[in-house]
Amino acid sequence: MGIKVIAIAPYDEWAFIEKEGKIVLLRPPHTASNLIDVSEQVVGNAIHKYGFVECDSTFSSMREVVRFLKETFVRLMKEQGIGTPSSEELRGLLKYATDDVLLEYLKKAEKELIPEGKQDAAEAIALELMKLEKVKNDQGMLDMCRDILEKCSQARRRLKEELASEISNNQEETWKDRFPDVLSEYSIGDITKLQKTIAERGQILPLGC
Amino acid sequence: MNIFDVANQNSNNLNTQYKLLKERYGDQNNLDILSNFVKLVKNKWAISLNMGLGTLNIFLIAGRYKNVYELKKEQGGKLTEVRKLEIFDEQAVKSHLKSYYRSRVTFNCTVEDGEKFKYGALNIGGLGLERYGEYCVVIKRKQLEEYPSLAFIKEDSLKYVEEDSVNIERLSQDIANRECVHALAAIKHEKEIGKIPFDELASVICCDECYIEAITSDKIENGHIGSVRMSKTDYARYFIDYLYKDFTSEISEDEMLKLRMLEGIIKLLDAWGIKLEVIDEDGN
Repeated sequence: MGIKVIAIAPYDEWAFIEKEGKIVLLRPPHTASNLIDVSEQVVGNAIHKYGFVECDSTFSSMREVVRFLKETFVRLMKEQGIGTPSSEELRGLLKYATDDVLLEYLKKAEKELIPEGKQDAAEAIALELMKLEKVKNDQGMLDMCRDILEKCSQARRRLKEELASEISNNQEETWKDRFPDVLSEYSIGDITKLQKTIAERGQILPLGC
Repeated sequence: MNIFDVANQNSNNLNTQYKLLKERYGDQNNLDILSNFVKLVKNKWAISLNMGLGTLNIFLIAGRYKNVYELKKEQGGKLTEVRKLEIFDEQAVKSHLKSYYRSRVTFNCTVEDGEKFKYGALNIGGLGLERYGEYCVVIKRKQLEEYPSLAFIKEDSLKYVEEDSVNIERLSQDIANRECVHALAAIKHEKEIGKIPFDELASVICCDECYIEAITSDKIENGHIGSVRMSKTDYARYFIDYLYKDFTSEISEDEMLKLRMLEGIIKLLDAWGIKLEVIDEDGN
């Protein structure tokens, strides 16, 4: 038995669907806990008072319904010539964000991104927020941004040191196992020296040269 | 039937019912509770319109709110495009929509200028209805006082459609003009007024399960908007779930487009000096 889509708000990715004999409202974030039972009258109002578009499609799973809603929205936007914004444009929205949201970003950068090794993302958040007037005028948030940048540098330094130490510990074994021909060409000392330089300074030559 | 005239004609009835209500509250020494409730409604009444991102975007760009009839006339082509994939036979859809399709048509055909109606709900604070979209557009009180046509119905107007006709007698008793909206609200919520904490009244008066329907056939323009409200949860979804994903390169195409639309809306609201209010689950 399929899932029947009765009406949709195409620009909102909302839909009234009929599932197992019940009418439910499906709305972002499109999770099972977001399903709300409604009456036929609500669907009638949605169509006649609130501009939902009637629909009569059946899908075999919720995943398909959600994909249909997302694809319909994207298609309509494209048909109107509205393209996806750049990161720079998207991040411009941050100037409208509330303090709560900005603090949440800083919290996530510190507690999630840095421990997960995503220093680039954490740094980008801190730098982006530091451009905002709201943050510039808030010493607390400004300190948090600086702290994140410092923690990112520390994490990177730590990573380099770990990498360098790993290289010196396992150099011979690794090279012998993985690149046996290299050792016949170069001395282990030269290879180690090059590895350390790369670990400390980053890639010396662009890849593919 | 002109429902605005009917609303005006029902004032005497509502005033009489309200007087009786006051007597009942007086008998129970609860007159203060009723008076405070009525004072709250009189001070704060406005109407709110529940809508989604797409509808709000069209409203702000066009400069005025268009009801479904107007939208269908103007955007017939586009709507057909949306529907082309899903609908093979208009009649089949109407038959599928069964009673709820006919009820609205019956109501709109019974009343004068039904196709011009814009539907909202009495709002004295809070998010109001949330079933039809993420946004609650609140019309300025000052503007509402100038609308020549404005009526409030105790229930959703569809509840007055029985079989294939409107129960005019019942509707005529349950409708108010702006001067009597406090009486209508007091009569409707007679049994709850004393039992609900004062700061929760706004969400009881206007929520998905219970609301006083507001109808106007006047033009609702951008300048009439007092504020736009959205829930903290929805706000967080845009600003934290979606936008944050841009930093981790996990954002999807539809999320980016949603943010683009939201950005356009926020800029238009800014330009009109309209405040976007974020309301948490407790109504704050």
